[in-house]
Amino acid sequence: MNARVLVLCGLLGTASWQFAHAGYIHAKAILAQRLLERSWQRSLDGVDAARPWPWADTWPVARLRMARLGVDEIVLAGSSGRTLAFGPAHVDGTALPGAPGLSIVAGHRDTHFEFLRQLAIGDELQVDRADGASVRYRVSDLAVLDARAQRMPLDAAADRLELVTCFPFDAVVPGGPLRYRVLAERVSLAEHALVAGRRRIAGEHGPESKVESFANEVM
Amino acid sequence: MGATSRQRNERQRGEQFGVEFHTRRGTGEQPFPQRLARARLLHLRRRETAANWLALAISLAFYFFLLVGSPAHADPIDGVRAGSLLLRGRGAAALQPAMRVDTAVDAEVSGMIARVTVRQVFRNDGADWMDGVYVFPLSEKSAVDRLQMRIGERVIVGEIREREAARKVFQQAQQAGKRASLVEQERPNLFTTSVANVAPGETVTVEIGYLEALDYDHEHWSLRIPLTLTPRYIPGRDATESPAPPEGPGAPTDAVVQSVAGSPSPPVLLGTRPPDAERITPPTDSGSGDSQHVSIHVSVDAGFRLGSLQSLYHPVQVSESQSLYQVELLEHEVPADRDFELTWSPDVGAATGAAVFTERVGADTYALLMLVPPHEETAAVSPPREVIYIIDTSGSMEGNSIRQARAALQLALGRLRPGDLFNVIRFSDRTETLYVNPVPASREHLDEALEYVGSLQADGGTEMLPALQAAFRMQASAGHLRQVVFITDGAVGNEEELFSLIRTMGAARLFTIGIGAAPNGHFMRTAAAMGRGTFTFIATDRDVQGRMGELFEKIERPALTDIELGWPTGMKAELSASRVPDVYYGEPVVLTARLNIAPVGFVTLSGRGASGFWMRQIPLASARANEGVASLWARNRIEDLLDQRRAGADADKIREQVLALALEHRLVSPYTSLVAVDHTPVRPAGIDSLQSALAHTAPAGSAWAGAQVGYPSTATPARLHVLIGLALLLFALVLVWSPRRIRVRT
Repeated sequence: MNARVLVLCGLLGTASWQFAHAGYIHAKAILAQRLLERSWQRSLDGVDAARPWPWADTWPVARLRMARLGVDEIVLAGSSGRTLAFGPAHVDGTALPGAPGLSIVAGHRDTHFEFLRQLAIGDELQVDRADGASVRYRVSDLAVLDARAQRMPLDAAADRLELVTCFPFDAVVPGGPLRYRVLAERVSLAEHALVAGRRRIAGEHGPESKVESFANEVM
Repeated sequence: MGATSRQRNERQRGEQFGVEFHTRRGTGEQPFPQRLARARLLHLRRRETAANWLALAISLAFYFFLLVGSPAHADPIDGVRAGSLLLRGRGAAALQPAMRVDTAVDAEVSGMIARVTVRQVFRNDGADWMDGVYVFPLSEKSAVDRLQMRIGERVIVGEIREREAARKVFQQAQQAGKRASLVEQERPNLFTTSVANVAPGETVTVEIGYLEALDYDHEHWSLRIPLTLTPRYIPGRDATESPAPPEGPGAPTDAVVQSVAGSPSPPVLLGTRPPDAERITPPTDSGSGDSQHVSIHVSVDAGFRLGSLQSLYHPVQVSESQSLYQVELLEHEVPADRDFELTWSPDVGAATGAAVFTERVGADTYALLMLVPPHEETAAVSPPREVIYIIDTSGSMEGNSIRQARAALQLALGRLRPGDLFNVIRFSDRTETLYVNPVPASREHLDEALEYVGSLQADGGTEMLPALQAAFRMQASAGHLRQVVFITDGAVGNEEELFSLIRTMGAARLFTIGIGAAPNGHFMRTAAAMGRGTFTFIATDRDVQGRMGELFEKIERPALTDIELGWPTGMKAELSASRVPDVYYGEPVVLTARLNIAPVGFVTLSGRGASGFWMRQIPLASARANEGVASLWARNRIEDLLDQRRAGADADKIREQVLALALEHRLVSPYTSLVAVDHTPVRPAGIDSLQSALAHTAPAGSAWAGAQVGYPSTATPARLHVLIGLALLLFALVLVWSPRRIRVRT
């Protein structure tokens, strides 16, 4: 009888441990975004690479908003994967979100980027850059890619934003090869000015800001 | 906490759990599985509980799926080769492969010098004109002196220029639609190749040539060719921020070193973000499947018959004719996911004692000297030691590296003798010391330390500065030789800052152990040189025993110190290094010098060893002529000058001297680059070229390899955890229900 109780306790214990783990993943995803608020403010105040905590190997690079779905998330630097638990991450080697060129941002399909499945072509996304400027993108393409066969493009010719997450959204075991990609084109400046109205977009036309992609800088 | 590592850890834990569960079922020791089987039989008999049984079956099946079912990875889709970049061509609907780079390495070993040619083949498979940037590693001892750009039959030879001037030449060519390539140095072991205006469908080959003096240790020569790099961690503090404790909320605070035993030490500063952080963090390709490829050919003309010739991490085939050995990879091309290392030793009876190589350039003669000191001078047993082990448990160590690091450290702890003192420091983004101060190597302490080391996991950033500071600040004990053994992959971008700290470490000696398939050799070698210690590399599990054994031999015996040279009268020799480094057991003294006259007579080496004073003479007249000695001297001289800058010498003056030397010897340096321009414009005006950063392959066995396939992995195991949890609950329910019935029946 004792053995049975032990086994039962073991099972229940392990079960709660598993639930706790799942909860921890989600809690971290939500809490981190709160903590990031402050370092994002510091970024806006002109601090370069403002780290949310001193030993962090990442920092906020942009803010991603989507009014219809109530999305407001802080995008972190470096898709080394270590940052993805805290927020959507900018992929190294691509342009920064809102900067000229192609920018790729990746996020977890079951936390920060769950909203991607609800995006439709024509939806508008807003990216706030660290220099205070806002840039609008319009969703132009939705696609499922096979990460084994396809590589990330690093195209500096068009101003695009690519949001990438794992696919299918409901898969249980992580680590599958498929990715869901949302491609958004930058809304042209003229149109942007109309949409933005009186909003100050000083950084937009001024001299090239400090946001530059790796490729641009090296060339 | 990194997401990838967390996911992986969790996935591992999940698997472990599954396996554990499996074995428990297999042993049949516990009453639980038997009862389970009986319960199942009973249920089979009792049809009315079919639904219950079904639930059990489902949960069992689910478990089975967890144990066996991992996402299938082998895939026939191979339209696009990995390691390439995809660009969306203008107007084209589908993604197209864009620029790709493959590498061919050709090394010629002659005596103790290797001439290595790295051929980078940039191929543009897209429909647009392309520019490419490729950050890649070379040996940290390399003297890069050649650049050739090949387009079809045409060969354009590169020129050495001051760095800014070279970049201007390259940019102008790029804008004018001319083909061009540029090779720049980011670190002594990290370079950037830029190519401009590669036409659609075209291949441009950039050939980079370098010289290197071979390593000799424990009667083995070795040639190491780095093929990839471990992504470097960039520490947090801005260079512009004052090093004084910052104030105000949100400002980076200093790390506090916490000892496991309690009581925090005084705060120490975190590392500084290097100004060129962007240039040394290229994109990483997972390296799974069909990745970036490399082919390697080495010819070895050692000047004697070889007793052994071995490639440590790649299968090779070797052919020999008259003591000339040709080494080729068994598979013609391999993924560039680990460093290549070839070692050889002379046949019995041909042991190397001393060697001199010279090269005449103009009025000057350059000499490369090597002497293996008498073994008995280092054979004695050293006084009791006080060893501080520092182990890197940052995220980049995840995978094979942390396992090897733990094994190496446990071996090292086992070698301590009674009377020795020790302490263990682990660091990632935070530093933790096992004891506040070093403790005697008693059984209890060692057991405690072994257990502690065995439990270490890799995660987080790589803040080395606080860990080194903690080690240097630790109270020294009288009568003990202080040694710091530093186990790391060196994947950091703030090397200069760390070197400056290591310079100040006083009497202690620093030994570095480079872990992983692609450690930062520049960091290992330079840190050890500044700490007057030595270094070793461990790339695979089977290296641990042998390499650590060699290191123990070195650190447990006294080093040869105060080495001095005496030259024949009338000969003026300008040594490349201002100080002759100490020499450890099994190592030779290696020196490069510029001589004012042709070599005659003897050079005398003397030093302090176990038996006091020792002396050896090397005849200079027997020197072999060898091309490249002059370049190696200049390279070493530059390294020494840059080291003087770290020690506080005037930066402008050093720059001037380095620039002059580099231009004279055509060497790539922090201040000089090689640039090649094809002067006919090829890209039509009105068409732009696209820019791409080319990825390097993730080191084998690291956290970057495998899991991430171009696009980052973007799923958490949260859902999996919930389902496992539910399945377990279901299981528990079944168990609560069924045995009661059994009891009723019996």
